[in-house]
Amino acid sequence: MKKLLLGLLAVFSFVPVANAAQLEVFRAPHHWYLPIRTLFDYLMDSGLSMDYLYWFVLLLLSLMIVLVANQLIGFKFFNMYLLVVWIFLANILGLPLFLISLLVFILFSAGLNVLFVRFKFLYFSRISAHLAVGIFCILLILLIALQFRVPMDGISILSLIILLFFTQHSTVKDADRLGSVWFSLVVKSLVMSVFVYFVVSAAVVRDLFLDYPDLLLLCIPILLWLGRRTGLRLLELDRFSRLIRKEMDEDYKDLIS
Amino acid sequence: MFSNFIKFWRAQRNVLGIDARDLLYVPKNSKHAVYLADSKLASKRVLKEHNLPSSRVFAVIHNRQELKDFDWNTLPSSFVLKPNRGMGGAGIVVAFRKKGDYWLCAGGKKFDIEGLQTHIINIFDGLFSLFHQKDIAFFEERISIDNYLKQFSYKGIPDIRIWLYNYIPVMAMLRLPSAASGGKANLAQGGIGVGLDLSTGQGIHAIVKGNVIIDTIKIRKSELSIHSIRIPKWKKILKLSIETAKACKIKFTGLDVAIDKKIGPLILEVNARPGLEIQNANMSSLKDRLQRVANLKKISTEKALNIGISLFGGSVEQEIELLAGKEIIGLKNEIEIFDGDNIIAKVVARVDSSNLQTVVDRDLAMKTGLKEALEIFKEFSDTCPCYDQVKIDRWSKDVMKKVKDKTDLIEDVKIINSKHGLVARPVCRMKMRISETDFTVSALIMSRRQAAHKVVLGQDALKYFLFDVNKKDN
Repeated sequence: MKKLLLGLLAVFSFVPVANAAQLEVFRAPHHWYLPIRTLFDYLMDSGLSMDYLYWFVLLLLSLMIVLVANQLIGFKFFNMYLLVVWIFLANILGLPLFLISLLVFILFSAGLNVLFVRFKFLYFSRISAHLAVGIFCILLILLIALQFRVPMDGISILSLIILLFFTQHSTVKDADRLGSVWFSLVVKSLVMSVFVYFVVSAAVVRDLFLDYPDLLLLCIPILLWLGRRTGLRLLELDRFSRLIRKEMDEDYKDLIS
Repeated sequence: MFSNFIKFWRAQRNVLGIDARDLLYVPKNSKHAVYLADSKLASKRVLKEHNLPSSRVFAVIHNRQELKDFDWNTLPSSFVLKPNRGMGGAGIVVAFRKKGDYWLCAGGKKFDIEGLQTHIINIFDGLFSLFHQKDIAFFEERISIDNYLKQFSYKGIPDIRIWLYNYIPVMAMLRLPSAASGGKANLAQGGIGVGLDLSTGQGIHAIVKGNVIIDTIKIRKSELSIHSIRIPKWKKILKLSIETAKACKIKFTGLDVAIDKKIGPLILEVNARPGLEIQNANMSSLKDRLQRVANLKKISTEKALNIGISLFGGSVEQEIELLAGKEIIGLKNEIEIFDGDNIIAKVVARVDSSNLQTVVDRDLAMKTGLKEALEIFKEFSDTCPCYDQVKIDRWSKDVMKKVKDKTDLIEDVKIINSKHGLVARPVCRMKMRISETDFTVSALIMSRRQAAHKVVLGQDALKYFLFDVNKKDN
């Protein structure tokens, strides 16, 4: 798969590739037209870990995939920040711990919401109570993780606190307002972030973008194109399918007449 | 395959998507217009300045101090509490009546003063507002549903969404609360969207749950046809929407109009980013309509109304006729009777769907090429001598045989029970025309001197048309 992608890259750069040795030419880092690769090499030579650079790649790739899913396909989720942070944290915490933490935060916060609305708690007091309970939840998460032997080496508690804040701010807070739509948005956001997590964690993607980080520059034209695009999203094609079919029939009638 | 793809590509380009709306049309509005659309109180103020009807505001509560000082006794027993910048109907409390210390509200909820105070503080904190901005709360008059629309809606208030661009109405939809939506007119929650003909305000199509087309609405125990919906005071509603858009200086908008029992049509809300479901409800795409009115400038209200109606108001009948390939006729229709290729008479014919056969007056038939044949028939036909069915059949066959020897124009013989007893009457092929549809029927020829209509169209003629008893005379 990786070789295929590299081969494709060679085709697009108009240089014939006959054998593996020639393919290696593309790995040469110091071409002027590969500025990101040159920068990456310089940073690594200066002692920066490959993981930091991978996070840079991961964030940009996640952003692009989420953007394409939203703008081109029409998937709905809470917001861009939340998804990118969820994907990033899934990478840092590992998927099992991430899912456990998210589930615990959402369950406790949503339960508290119901309780507080019933007992007419003021809005800001409610948020504070949510956060306080959330912080206690971190202890519960650590306990669950230990019970299920989820690897937690080098995991900072800061990651869990960031996850708590973002989950509270961008999801649970809207539960009252959005009603049943809220649940569907949580599920969609979660599915999307897990999907993107698997895509960006795939070895082939990771290696490709670390070898050729300049490919990330493609994000700019994609961003510009998506930002100016006025066509229907893929899910809108389904939403308006009957109407489009009707328009197609009318088009056909015009041809006959 | 490729031609299908081209057709699909061309068709989908006409449909307005969310990105096209946000990028091409929403920016046509000034910042002030968008502010007016987002703030219910600001838009109400503008409407009041221009003497345009909207629901009356009882009280506005800006902060906690005002809430503390608020005299709850000034509130009527029925009201609506709303956040000023609320979105998607969130945070709205509809109180129906006061019972003791609490108000009975929509959805079976009960609110006492303390409950309303907590709700208002939540509104202040931005729980229901756009981007969780700090907000203010206000109490307004509760609309009483118009009697006509009441029969089509379940519990809640139905409203009419009218899309306007360049102050010209381009599309309209009636949103009906249903049992599935829990009495809310919101389409996302299961409300019914009925596309309306811009010229008449009559229902064209209806959708439920986004894409499912329905022909009838089941409200309580009755089932009502979509096409039977005709919005009262339609022109007044369109005029009101144009005047509102002009007053708010909002070029691209979706206005929500309700019909109050006492006040009549009034503006509920001004939207700067109206939903796109209206296209499915009307089975018509918006892009083309918006482009057609894009370059029009400085148009009077009357002219805008006429442009909207004439450009986008299509008759429901025309659509049905197009689909069925048949013309719709009413109870009485002017018909033309042919003799060969020449029209020899124009008369008003009545439709009688219980008649199997079309009946034509003898004198009228005599004007056609049937004169000779009818005179020959008269020689042989006489009153039937008996009432025995076997003998009647034999007698009619005899008459037919004798007539056939003399002329081919008589197609058949029918035995009619008249005041003179059983008599034989001829059946002849006759060519007729209604509007632009030519048809040939086997008409029963008999005297209709005393009758108001010389021709009665029966089932044999009706098979060429669609029959609508409500249609005015053709």
